[in-house]
Amino acid sequence: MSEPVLVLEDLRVTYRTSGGAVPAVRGVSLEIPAGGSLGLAGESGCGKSTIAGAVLRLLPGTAEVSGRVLLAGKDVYELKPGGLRAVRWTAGAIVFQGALHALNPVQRIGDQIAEPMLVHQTVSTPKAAKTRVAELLESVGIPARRAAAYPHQLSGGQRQRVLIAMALACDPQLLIADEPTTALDVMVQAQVLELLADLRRQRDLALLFITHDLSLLTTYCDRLAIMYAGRIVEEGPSGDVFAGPSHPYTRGLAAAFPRIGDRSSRMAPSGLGGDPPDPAALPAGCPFHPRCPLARPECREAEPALRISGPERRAACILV
Amino acid sequence: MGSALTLLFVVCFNFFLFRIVPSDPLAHMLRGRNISREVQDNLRAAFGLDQPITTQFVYYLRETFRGNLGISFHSRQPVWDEIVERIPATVELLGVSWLFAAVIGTAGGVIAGWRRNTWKDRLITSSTMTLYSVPDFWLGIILLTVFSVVLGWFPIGGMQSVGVRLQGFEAFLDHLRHLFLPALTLSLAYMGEYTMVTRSSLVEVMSEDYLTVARAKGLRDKVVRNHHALPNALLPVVTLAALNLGFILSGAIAVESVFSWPGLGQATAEAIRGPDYPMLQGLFLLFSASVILFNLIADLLYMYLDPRVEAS
Repeated sequence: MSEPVLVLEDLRVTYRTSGGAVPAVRGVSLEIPAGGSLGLAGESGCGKSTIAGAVLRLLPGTAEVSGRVLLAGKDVYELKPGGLRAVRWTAGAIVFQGALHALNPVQRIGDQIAEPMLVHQTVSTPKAAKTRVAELLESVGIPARRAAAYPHQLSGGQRQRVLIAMALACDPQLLIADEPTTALDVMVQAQVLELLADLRRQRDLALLFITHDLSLLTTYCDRLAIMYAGRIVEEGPSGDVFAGPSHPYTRGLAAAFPRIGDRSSRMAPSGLGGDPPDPAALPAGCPFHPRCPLARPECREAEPALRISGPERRAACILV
Repeated sequence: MGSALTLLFVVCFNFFLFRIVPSDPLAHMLRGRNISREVQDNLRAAFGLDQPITTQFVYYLRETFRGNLGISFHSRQPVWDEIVERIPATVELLGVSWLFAAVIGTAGGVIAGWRRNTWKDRLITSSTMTLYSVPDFWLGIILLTVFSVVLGWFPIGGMQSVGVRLQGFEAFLDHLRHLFLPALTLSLAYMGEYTMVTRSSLVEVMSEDYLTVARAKGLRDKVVRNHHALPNALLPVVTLAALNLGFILSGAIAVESVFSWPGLGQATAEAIRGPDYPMLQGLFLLFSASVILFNLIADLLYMYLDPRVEAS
């Protein structure tokens, strides 16, 4: 088997704030093989977006990072500034959420797509960059002449496509999609996801897909990792995890999506009660125990480690 | 259209503004000399001061629209000629100061904002804010005392040396030496405005997602700043600079007086002492027109610089 595109080894990220240290990621290890795809799901504040930023070392100065991030075999946190810039966008690129301000409002989109190619010299001339921008735009379903448009002249779905085209500019091995469809309406969301899936097949791209929408991940990712309070609580092949969750938290997430045609699930949507814990003040023991329907007294004492819960599956719960 | 209406309002407002001041212009014209009642009445009639205020207002409106700004009470010269004569001095002093304040102030703001909460930021922010909060004439007096009176490096006022005849390059140098202190005073005093606007605008832009995107693309820090942050962050600064350009004509009343700089600011100070109604009306009309004009220019400029603002 070839070398994995992305390896996280015991990644920990702690934000230093005026109110003290806030651990956002507390020891996450995962692997994505070349061309593989992993879906990372969890509620807001579970640390999933922090992981996206940590891979390209984009976190603010207040974030303390420990552990290792190996991107295309390079230890991102050992690289010198020049080496780091060289890996960014060529080894791993990020598809940001387009509804927010991920595009520079005063630059034409064509220039923004061409910029990384010229910086990393993946094209030799500005003219070649222009040709490639046209190809990229066409490949995401936007007419090439729109390269001269400014971001505000595009719809939300088009902006998201532009961000995908931009991420593909330097033919990266890994695409990190951080909630790429959150602000889009359902039809556009489906188009964007289909597009991502197509491009992935054509280019043999590895994908790290981050979202809070578990149902999307099962369709578009080979494997699934569920995060809770800065740790992975369950991991495995996506179909298996969604169909037969081992961890009570995954069960709660999966049950929050009503099954079409199933009356009982529609009449009684069973979500999770309560709110995700404050990362600055996690409960003792298993951080999920205050919301867990199956909690036992010993859950308050020690935080369970990930252990084998089935073929290629792991979960962090004393009940598995 | 909006600009024209504003100007009309200013024209009317100017007339009443100066007549609220409880003072007799004639007393100033006579400067305490003992002059017969008859002559006083003649003077009053000559300047139309014996007419009811409504009639004066109608005359004023009619003549203003004809382009006649009247005769100065003080110098007995047409107001327009008096003003035109002083425009070059004011435009020179204020123009030079505007340029330095804008360029240096903005550069300071960029450094402070990009490296927020470092010693550079603290040094730049605190020093420009101190200078900005100090009254400009006071700063002028201090500089004048130190550099002209104590050290004797610069002349104490005026635009050129009196009593010597200089030519060519020497005259130019002499002129620069006179310009230096008042221009320095005004530049220092108004730099802070640009620094604070630039800094806060840059800090705001720095939290935008497109800067994270720019860094993720593998761009150098400088490129992220110059190609992505500044084109967005400097939009309000350009507007500020264009608006301030409108105040160039109105001169600096206090600083021009401190340095005896023969510009429109000094003329305003003199006219207020009268009060010289026609002169004040003329000056304020010019000031307002220039501010309104540059407001319009700032709007047009913004439309050109920011693609999101469409012509309406």
